[in-house]
Amino acid sequence: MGMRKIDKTQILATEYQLWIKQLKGQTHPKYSSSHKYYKDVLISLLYCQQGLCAYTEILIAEEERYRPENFDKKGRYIDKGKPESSFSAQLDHFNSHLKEKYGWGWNNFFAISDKINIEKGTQTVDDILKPDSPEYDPHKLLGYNEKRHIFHVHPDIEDESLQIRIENMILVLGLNQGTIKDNRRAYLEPKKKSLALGKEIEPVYQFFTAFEMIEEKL
Amino acid sequence: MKITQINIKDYNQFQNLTLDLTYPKGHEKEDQALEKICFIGQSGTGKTSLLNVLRAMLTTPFLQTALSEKYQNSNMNHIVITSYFKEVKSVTEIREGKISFRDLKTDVNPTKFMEDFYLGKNILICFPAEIINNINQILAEKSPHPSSILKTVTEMKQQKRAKPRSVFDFETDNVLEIWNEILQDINAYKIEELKYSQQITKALGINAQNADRAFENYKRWKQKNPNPIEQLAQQLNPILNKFSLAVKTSFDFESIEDLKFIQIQSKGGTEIPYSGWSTGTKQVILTMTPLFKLNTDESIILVDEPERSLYPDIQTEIINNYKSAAPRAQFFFATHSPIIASAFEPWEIVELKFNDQGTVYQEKYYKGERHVDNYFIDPRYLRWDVILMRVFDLGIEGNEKFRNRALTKAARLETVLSKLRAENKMDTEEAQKIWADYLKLATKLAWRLDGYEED
Repeated sequence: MGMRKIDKTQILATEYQLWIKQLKGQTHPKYSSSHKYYKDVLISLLYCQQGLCAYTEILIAEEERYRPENFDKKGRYIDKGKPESSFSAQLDHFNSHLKEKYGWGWNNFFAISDKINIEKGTQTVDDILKPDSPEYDPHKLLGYNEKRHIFHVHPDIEDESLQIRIENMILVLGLNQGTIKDNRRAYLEPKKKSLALGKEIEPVYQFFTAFEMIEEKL
Repeated sequence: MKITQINIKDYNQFQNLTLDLTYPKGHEKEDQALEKICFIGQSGTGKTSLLNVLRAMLTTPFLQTALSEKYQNSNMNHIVITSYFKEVKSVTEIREGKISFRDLKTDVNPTKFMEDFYLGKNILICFPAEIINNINQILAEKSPHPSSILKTVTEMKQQKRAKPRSVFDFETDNVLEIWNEILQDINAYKIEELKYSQQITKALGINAQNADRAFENYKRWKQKNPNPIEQLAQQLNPILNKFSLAVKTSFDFESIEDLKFIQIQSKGGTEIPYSGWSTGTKQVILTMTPLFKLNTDESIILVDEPERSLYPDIQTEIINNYKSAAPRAQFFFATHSPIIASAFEPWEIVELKFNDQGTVYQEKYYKGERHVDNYFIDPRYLRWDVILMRVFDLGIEGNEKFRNRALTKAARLETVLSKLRAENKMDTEEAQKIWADYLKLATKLAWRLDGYEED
């Protein structure tokens, strides 16, 4: 996963939280991006994910957009309009097969970059790289080729069926997708060079996992 | 005339779009109208619509008049085009379906001014993306060869226009009539040459002396009158040579059809009939010939999809070819090709994008003041793949379904190999196998293995 493990326990959208609790066991109302809770869920997730795409860790929202103060007392998001950005945030159903009947389930939601969402589509997923699953540990499952800025299966994993499962998910989640990789390279390469020369660098605000893996090798 | 600004309100997908079409500050041509403009953007953002706005403006007579019939139902409510006629600024405006001039800083009546300004010149030359299809369709309906429906000069004299044509719009259905006018001098020359040929034949039938005299007459005429097709050949051949073709300059006079259209031949001299021309050949001949033959001073030239049917190597040169064929015209192109885009200065590119509301805006390539130093993208500096990703916003690098899997595998093998190298295990059988797998994959991915970093 391009992402550190995500903790989704704090939900800012409390009205949505209550609503979904009451639906327990029932089929959910139809999911739609024009639904009144769409933004509530999206912004709550951005808060848990620190404004980063859950899979690729590219920045998709500035902090001011997902601050707790942006929710009113009832736990509804106060919409102030969306600033223009080249990587816009969208809601993703990790397992798209759950979308029809349980389209509003919190556990299946992540905020991700629109660039990834289109390509991920309805491809079958494997929980092995689900960013909030309890067993998930990117440092045991993934490796990072820092020369080419490409995520790959951890070099120590020898079990071929496990390799295939992880590799498939790297592709499904778009970790090496063209634009994402291009942006990651542009962002991390100067930092990598500075670190190699022993220079101080500004703290990173995106691509944390890739950066940590670069640091480990230096 | 050169257009310096287009302002469109509430027309199709344009809610409020202003395009500055001048060179930016710090440029040697600062504030002057751009000589060439390239519209790019997702399908549906309105590249062709913009070309059509210009067509509507320029094919309608310039006076307080309703838009020509073709555009009357096109919902052009408020469009303002600012243009310069040498030093005279004018603003042309479409409001409520009427086209008018305002701010024309001259005492002369606008219609008279336009007539005088364009005396002997042409206002508009317009090539639609379907230029070949348009002609092919006419041919399919009527005849397999343009010659059989084009007219000779004699035939044309019967239909002389009251006013010389100043708009050459190849999208209209009278496109063959336009070709008749463009090739008029070539046809006239061929007919004249045919006359001399007939005189020589006749004289030969009398005696050798007469034949000599007739031949001398012909030679004298030839010396005085350069063959226009030879001039056109000189202009077209550098491009046609890339297709291993050339313009045929000699006439066989085997049929009246030879008199009418341009003939081409292979390098070996074999004539290629029109039906055998490749679409790329047609594209080049049908668009370049008018530019060589017509007066293009002060013309506006619209070319939709100049890359149509052209192999990449020809695309790299076609914009320069157009520009040098009509050096004093202003060109408007619309393209999907990164190769075409690389021929433009960054301020000459107009990238159209949809915002969240579905209306179109222009993507800026500069930060702060519109100054050459503040531009952060220059398509002339970039590789084609980078242009696709940075300028055309293509999010992927290749056929990602296959490429990404190969990349992910090869990147892992590379990491494993560097680990084995660090542990001094490169001589092991396992390392040799991984190295062989890596080499195969890296070669297919066109990875450089010499440590060189591509820039």
